[in-house]
Amino acid sequence: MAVLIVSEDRNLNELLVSVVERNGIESVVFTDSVTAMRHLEQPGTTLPSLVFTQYEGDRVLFTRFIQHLKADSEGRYFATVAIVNHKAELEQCVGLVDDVLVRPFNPTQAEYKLNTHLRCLRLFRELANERDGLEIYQKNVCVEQELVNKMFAVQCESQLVSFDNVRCQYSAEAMFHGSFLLIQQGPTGSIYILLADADGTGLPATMASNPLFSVFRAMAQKGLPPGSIAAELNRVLPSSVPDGMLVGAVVAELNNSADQLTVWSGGMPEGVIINADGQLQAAITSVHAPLVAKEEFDFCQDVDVYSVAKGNRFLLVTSSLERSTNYDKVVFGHNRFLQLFNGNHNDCFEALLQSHQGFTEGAPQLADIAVVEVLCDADEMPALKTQTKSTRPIPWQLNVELTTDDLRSVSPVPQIAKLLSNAVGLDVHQDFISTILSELYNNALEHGVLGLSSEMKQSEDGFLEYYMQRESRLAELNEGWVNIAISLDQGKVVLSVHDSGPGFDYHSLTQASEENAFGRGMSIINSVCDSYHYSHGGAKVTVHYSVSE
Amino acid sequence: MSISAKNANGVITITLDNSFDFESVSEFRDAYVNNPGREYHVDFRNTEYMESSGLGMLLNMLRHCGGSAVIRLVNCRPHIQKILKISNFQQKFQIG
Repeated sequence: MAVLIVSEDRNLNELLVSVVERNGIESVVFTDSVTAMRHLEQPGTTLPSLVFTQYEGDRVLFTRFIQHLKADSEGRYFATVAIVNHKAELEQCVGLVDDVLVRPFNPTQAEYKLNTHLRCLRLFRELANERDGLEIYQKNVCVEQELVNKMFAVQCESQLVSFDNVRCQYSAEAMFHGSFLLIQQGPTGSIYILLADADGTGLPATMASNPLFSVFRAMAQKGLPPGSIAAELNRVLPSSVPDGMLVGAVVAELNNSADQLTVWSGGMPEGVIINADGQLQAAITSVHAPLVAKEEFDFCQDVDVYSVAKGNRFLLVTSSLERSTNYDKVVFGHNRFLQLFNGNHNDCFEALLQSHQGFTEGAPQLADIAVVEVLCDADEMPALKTQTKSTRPIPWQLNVELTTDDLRSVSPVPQIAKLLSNAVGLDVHQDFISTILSELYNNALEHGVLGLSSEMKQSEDGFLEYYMQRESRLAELNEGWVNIAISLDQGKVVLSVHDSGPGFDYHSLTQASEENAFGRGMSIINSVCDSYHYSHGGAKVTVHYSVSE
Repeated sequence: MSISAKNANGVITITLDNSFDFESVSEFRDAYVNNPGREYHVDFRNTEYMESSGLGMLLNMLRHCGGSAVIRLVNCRPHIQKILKISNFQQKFQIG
């Protein structure tokens, strides 16, 4: 910081220099403007922030001097104070300088001027610092947004599995504005849809809603009901969203036979079910509060269940559709949406997109729309993927020898099923093998070890009595064992169950009758296995099951 | 988890546990005896294992309702559907 003083009056110069230097500021003095300009033009000269200059009597010269000074002042604080002798000179300076001092003045008045401009200079520097900081920040934000955009484009693509009977209008931009659309097939072959809408836009809304992805996927893959999924989303979201942010959501499941739609919807606009002619069949109303609004204990999992017929379609939308505006700031609204389903459109999904596009005419929107349409038709439902066999399984054997204590205290089949679930090569057969195992084990335990007779199960009371006796006899069991052996070799599973019981006359084994509530175990085994045979007088049964198809 | 029963618009939905076997015999029985109705959905969405005692329990339910109610077995996984089919249950129940 330096102060430039230009005056031919030696006394004036001395006065100003003493005032400036008293404030600890450097000053440079020239007796005329031409010398001053020449000095400033030298390379490496510190440019002044404040100039006290005497009006030299010639407006043209004076103007040139001031303009010359100002030309170099861009981007920094610079002020000119003209020193004038009388009113006529004062008027000459109007519009040219920032401030004036009229002679005669005393040092205190000059010091006031100086301090005023020093204060302005400090404020200017503070602002300039902040501005520079913001510029850097803005640059970083731009880079981050670009990154996030790319990330979202990838994510957006990956979350939309393509099923033949599902169409959607969804984009990374919509996601960036807090809209989420996820589609997932359940283990029974049903289709799960999550359409969510976080209020607020941009990064916070999107990042905060991240748990939606993992929770929804995991729960849908397990085949959990929509109400439970919504409850879990409601439980996990509050820990990640900013205070006060709510997330509207609809969790829908179309069952595998495509005739039942189960919906939990909170804080979302009405969706529709339409028939094959494009006529409104039912409205899918949002009956709950949005996610996050309710505490866990207060959350309502109740769902609405809609029966849908073959050829029906359902459409779900986010509020960004109805909130879309045209250039006249008129909103698209709910009625414009509902009016589409009057039977005049063969393809309501397309009609909706066109109607929206025609209405908004490209007017800038707060958020991109998200729309999903699902056709209810069992023949069009995506097929369940089976696991691919990649590794050739090694041969193995598993022997389980259950003592009396074991029989009394544990149910071994779930534990063995858990072991088998990790075995390479069993794939989709694992469920059947577990079923076979539990049939064989139950027979061995109930008939072999405990000596119960299936005939008890003929009546409903007997059925209950049978299982009560099973429980009490098992609790009092003093001796008995069951050995289970399972092996896999070359695509063949051999399962044998041997019990300590006396065996039975397996030659007289009869087929279960249609109506009996018992005797079905062996007919299941007979149907799913290659072969089975008894040995040890009926105390041991061996089953062959082929997994190499 | 355990078996739960819910009545919505006259349809009683009985949602089964992870495995459907004799261990839930009285719980399952209570679910339909305590909720008389004309239409039942037995929801298998959580059920990974079913054994023949489960089949017996379903037949007992059918017997209890005595033809006055429709019983639908819903959200069955493929291998459970196969077991139901092997046992000819599609003639007695609606499956799907």
